[in-house]
Amino acid sequence: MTGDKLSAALLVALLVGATAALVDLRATQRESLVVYTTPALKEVLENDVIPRFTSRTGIDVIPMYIPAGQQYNRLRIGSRTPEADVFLHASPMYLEKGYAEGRFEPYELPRGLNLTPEYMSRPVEGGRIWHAFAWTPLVTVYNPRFEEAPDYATTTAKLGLAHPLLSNNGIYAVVLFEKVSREAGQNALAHAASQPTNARATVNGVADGSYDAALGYEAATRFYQEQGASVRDAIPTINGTQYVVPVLFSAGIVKDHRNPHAKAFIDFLFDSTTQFRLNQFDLRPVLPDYPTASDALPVTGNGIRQVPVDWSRWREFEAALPRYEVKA
Amino acid sequence: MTLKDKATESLRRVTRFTPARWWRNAAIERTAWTVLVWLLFGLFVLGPLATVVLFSFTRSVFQGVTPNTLEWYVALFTKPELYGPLIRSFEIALIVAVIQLFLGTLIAYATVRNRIWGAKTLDAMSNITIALPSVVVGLALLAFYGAFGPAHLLTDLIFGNPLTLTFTIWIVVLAHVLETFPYMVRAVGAVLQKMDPNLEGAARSLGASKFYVFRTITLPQLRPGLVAGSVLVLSRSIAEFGATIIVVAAALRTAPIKIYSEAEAGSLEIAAAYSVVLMLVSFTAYLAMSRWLIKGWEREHLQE
Repeated sequence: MTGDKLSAALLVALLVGATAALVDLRATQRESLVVYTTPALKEVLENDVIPRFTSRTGIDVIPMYIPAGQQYNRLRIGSRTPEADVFLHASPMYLEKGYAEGRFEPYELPRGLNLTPEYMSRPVEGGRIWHAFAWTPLVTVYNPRFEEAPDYATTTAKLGLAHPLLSNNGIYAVVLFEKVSREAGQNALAHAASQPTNARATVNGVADGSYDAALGYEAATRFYQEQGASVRDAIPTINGTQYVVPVLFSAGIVKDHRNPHAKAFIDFLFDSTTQFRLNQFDLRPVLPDYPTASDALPVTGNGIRQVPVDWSRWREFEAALPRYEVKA
Repeated sequence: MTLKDKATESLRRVTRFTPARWWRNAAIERTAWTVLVWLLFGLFVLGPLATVVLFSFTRSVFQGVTPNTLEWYVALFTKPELYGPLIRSFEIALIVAVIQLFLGTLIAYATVRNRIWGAKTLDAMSNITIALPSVVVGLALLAFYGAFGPAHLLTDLIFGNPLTLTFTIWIVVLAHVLETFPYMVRAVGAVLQKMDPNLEGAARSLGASKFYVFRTITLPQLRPGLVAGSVLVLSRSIAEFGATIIVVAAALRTAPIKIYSEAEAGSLEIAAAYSVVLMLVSFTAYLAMSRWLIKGWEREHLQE
């Protein structure tokens, strides 16, 4: 083949390839169900929920893992043509805020699910804003060279405090301090060495020695422990008392979403198989009578206190968030 | 020479020895420089890359970096959520390369042959996206074509139907085109500058049409520039991150973004395997196309 013929053949091949690529890319985008979610749910979504959902319905699901704050901003940028169908994050705050700003639509779960009120939003016209399908406690993740987890009121250890404006992990840390002790929060902030932007990065910082302890999620800690990371966890302690803050993995439906199967995906999260298998991923089910992992931390008894959170008062938490940002 | 003389000469040599003289010995100097340069190159370039390769064969870096598994590579080529972004990267790069073959060549031709007003300015400005941080390019596209930008407002005003490119394939392609067109313009422009314009003039004076001259004289000579430009565009597009992460839709995430999100999610090993595949692809494409096609063209034309 002469040089000219080879060039012509290459050019034709490039043109055909580019056209085929364009068709494939457009089809991929048009047919997929996009879920904005958190790295903390990566294992359960990719190894259980999504493969089963896709094999049952034939619908491709694309999870996108970036911090909740960033994803909420992407929703705002998308305006009336959002790319996401489902918003599945570790706290209901952005869902409540988004509902107030007209970015989420209410929905009802299938009848007969025995979901208790702490796992769903207040009723609104058209259903509820969000439902939590799993939960995990907020924990202190710490380096095993410490005999016990630090007490945030008095600790001088180097801490990782997740970014309050970008990460739900940061929001939960703020909730704990605002509801239990602002002084402990200020002490923690004074010793914060880093502000990771997601729950896994928070645990990673303890595992790689960037800081001594952090407020993270039990499920994310187990993920690192199973990989061999040397980290321990405990229910957070403030002034000698342990406090349980439940981290609620909550789902909402994006208003004006394109894929008609968004609701079906959320229903699937409450399916009995999904709830039954949550413990394999160190998450706790929200429906009664489903198992919890055997190595899960005890969250009741021995003077452990519960920190109830009313997410409809999200504005109070949001107003407090900037106070927990490490200023340069 | 007596034994005494030999001993005296040896003694003189030894007493003449100084570090400066020793250093001036060409072989020793070369060896020392070789060790130093390779040490620095190894430490700053090869070392980090080799570590990524090691990570990719390690079950968990938390258990020690020991190459003992292929499971991340197996996952990479069997799980659609992992190999999907790799395919997206190639698809986008292919589309961008085709666009650049026309757009980059057009701009290079117009500026080098001085066919438009402001050719010099355009030539200088065609490097602008190399100078800008790519994240700025992404933001600029989002600002211009997004829901609050002028494209949206103007199309709404004129057609009553606002155009929003946010999170579409078009804005990703645009981002990659902006990020890569200086490479095609430079590659084609360099060849054009070496070409003798009298050849085209002679053909025109013999009655050949402009298109015929372009097809039979200009284009064949541009081939090494087009090939080199395409290789650079493909490599740059496959590696593009900064602009893409701002504008890309979830369904269209490319390989570098997947690497970032895997690393962010704590899966360093799979991010490393992904990186190794990307490195191999880039090196292979670069070597194969530049060595084979450009050298082939040179051989062909030198023989002529």
